[in-house]
Amino acid sequence: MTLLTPRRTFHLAKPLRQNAGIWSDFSKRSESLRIPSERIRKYILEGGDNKDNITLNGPPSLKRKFSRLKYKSPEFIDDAFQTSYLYLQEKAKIYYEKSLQDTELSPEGKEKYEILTDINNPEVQYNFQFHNKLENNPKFINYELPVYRELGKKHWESYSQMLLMQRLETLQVIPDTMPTLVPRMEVNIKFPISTSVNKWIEPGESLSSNVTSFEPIFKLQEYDSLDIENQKYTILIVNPDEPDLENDTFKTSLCYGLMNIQISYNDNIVDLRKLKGKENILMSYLPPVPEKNVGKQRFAVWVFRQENEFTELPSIPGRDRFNIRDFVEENKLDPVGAHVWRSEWDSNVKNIRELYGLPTGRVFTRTRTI
Amino acid sequence: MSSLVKRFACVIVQQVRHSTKRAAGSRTSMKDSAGRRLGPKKYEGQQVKTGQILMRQRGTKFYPGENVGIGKDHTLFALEPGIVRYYLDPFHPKRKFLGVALSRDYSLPKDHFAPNVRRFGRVEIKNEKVAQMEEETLPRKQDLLKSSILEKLQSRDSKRVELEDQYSKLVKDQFKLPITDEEDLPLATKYLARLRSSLKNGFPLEDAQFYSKCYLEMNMKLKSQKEKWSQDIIEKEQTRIAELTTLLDKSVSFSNKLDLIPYLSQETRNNLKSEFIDKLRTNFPEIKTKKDRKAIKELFNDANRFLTLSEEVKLRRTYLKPIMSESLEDTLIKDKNIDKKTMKKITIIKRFNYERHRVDTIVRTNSAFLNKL
Amino acid sequence: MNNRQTIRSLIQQSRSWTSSPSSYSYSYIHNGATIQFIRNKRTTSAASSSSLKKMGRNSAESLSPPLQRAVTQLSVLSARKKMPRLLKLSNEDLIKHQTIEKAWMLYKKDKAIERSMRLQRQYESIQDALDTLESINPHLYKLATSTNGEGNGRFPLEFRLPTDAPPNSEKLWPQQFSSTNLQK
Repeated sequence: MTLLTPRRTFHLAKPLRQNAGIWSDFSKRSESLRIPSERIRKYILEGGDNKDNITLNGPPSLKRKFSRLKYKSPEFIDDAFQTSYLYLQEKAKIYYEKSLQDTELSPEGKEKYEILTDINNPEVQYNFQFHNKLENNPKFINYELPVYRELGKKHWESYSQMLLMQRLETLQVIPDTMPTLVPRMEVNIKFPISTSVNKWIEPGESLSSNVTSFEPIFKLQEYDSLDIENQKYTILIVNPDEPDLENDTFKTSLCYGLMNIQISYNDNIVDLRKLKGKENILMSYLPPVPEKNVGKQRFAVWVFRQENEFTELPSIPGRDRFNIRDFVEENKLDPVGAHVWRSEWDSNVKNIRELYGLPTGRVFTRTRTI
Repeated sequence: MSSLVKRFACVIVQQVRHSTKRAAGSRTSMKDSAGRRLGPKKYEGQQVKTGQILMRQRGTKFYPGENVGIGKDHTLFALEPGIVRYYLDPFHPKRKFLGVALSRDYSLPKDHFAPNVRRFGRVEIKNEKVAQMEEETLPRKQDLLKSSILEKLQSRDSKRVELEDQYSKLVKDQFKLPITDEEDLPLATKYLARLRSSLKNGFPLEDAQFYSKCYLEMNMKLKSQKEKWSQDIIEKEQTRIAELTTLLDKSVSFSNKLDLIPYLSQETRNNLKSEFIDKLRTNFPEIKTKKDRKAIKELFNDANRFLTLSEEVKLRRTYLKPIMSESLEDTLIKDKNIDKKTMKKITIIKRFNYERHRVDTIVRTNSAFLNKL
Repeated sequence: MNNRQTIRSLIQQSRSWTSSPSSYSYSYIHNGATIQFIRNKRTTSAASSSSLKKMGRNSAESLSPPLQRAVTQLSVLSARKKMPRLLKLSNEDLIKHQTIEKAWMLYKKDKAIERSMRLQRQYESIQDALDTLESINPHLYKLATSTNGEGNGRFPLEFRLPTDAPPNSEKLWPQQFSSTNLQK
């Protein structure tokens, strides 16, 4: 590391600005509100013409020396930036003082002022815009801070949330499983145990039976401010497309049920390390094993906020004919997030059935009755 | 004159009647087509089968409701057998709908938030031979692809077996791990192969180790369920897997090329790295000869053990540059008068200078180009 | 560095701010020739003076007329001249640019709020004055507020509310108006 950033210690010794404002005062504010790379921070705040930066010959985010030499900043951008920075900082100071002084403020009000203090801070914007928002490193994007949560929520709402709702509606997950959803939490799933493939699944994707052979891991990103240390979550995966031959219709079966799950804003991947056996597992995982000619089956992942922790998990008669609506109502669960994938019969289903000791699947007629 | 004006002041315009006159509107009036037989073909409460036409219309006078499809000329037809229902939906207050209810006691429209009422409509094939045949038939595209997919699968499997063989030899003979049990060795190689692919796919080491271990445990658990092992045996197996994986985690690592190497902790990696960089710095501040270059290359041979891939690439780029730095004065020729003899020993570079907006001509000795050494 | 500073001072003299700080026109002297920029696009010919000097001309403006015509025609046809070029900014400069835009937006918003508050205060003080007038002298109040002429109760045009900008067309202003005419 000494080779890569040889001048770091040299820079740190000097004060950055003569009249340091609230945005460069980290005695009371979190370190995540600062750009960790001192070179980039200096380049943004003090400009490319700075005496120390002139040896760099351009913005440090450009990795090749050739592109740094070729690059030209817009003229006077540093002068205009200095003025704007001071102006915005002056405005932010008002909110900052309000958030500190008002003792009678509600937590929401305080949070609002904290967001307003830092939302225009170029360092926060840099950290958020140029780093991974899904698998966040708390050094850059710390979702414990209301500003980053606000930015994260905006980013989620701009695409992923709309995509999810579109998939839930077109695939009729709403209303076939739950009546509707007001999305408040970003849910992502991945299947690392079955195939070691490192990929987050897009809502509505068709997956092969090999991929889904072992349980998924979940990433539950909470953006709302709540008492997250005492908040517990329930995750249910249901399949509403199990054939019901008696009534010539479909029935819902429960594939996986987890309860009493504890997450935090930054550490929120739910895998076997977070589960403690019987305290958490309502129903063990049964992989999708669609039978021949039943068509594509939907597997809806539902995430709920619990009203309080269950000391004893509610008893359910079995996987088959699981009524998710009644279950949710009885246990006072609040749906906050969802996800969906689809599975179809393939030639590997036979192997999965054998692995789990399931009976061989039925075969249905290719055409439907008239 | 004035009397003349008075007499002809008012000129009466009169319509002229000719002997013949064509009838008005003859251009369009001859084009009446036969009726298109539009309108409802099935009425409220009638029983229909799949595919029967319910309504012929121009435009969507009626919209397709539940279990009803619409054709290219807006013909409505039944998608399921059932009872025809004409209804209004409060969700679309300006539209009239035509739906097919699956049974007589089911009224339309359904509650917006209630689950859909669906018909499965398929029959289980009881005859084993027919079922077997049906299971084996694939859609044409899948059928065509099947052979190539199987081939790929086989080659992948054989590669995996090869890798596992290699690992079992390494573990046994080279690293001499205390794996005595016959059953442990395949488990270990399976674990290592899994770990390798997880690392290749970009999982952090800790996650890769955990998920690989999970994979073994899951397989064990499923086996125990199938063979109905007692709780003692399961616990024994679990501890066996845990011990084996911790042993492997402590005794082997992967290089940045994903080759199996003896274990290096993060601390020793860091130490080796800083040592390596110091060595490069002190011994080779500038490469001047072919010999230096060779020495550095040799030094790098071993580096993939403790450097990450990006670190190695970066160091290679800084220390094995194909062209020497221009700060070395003796490789630059500033004298503009070049005679024919020296022409052979130099190389002229033309490069655009972005600061001056001009093309610079740089004359360098051939010795500055390490690839030409 | 010295040369750079002189260029900068020259630009500062000639630049004129328009709607936003990121779009302005400026010119500077490069090797003795004035080069004009509008929205960061050079509008005078591209030939540098040094190459022209070799050809026996003195300054950048003296392109031969046919050549200048060709340059002009091409520039008219060129889409690049009409559409502003996409800014290619480094990450750092993009953040700076966003900060500047944000500050400018907030500044404009502040100004607008300030102005509307001022107008509000003016209106309220007029309202107050009229209320006082009503309590002191109802007759005068009636005269002052009546819309159609009882006596000459029409509100005099000279007493119009002052506005920030004059009416934009001559037709809107009664040029022939004089209070003496009205008296008759």
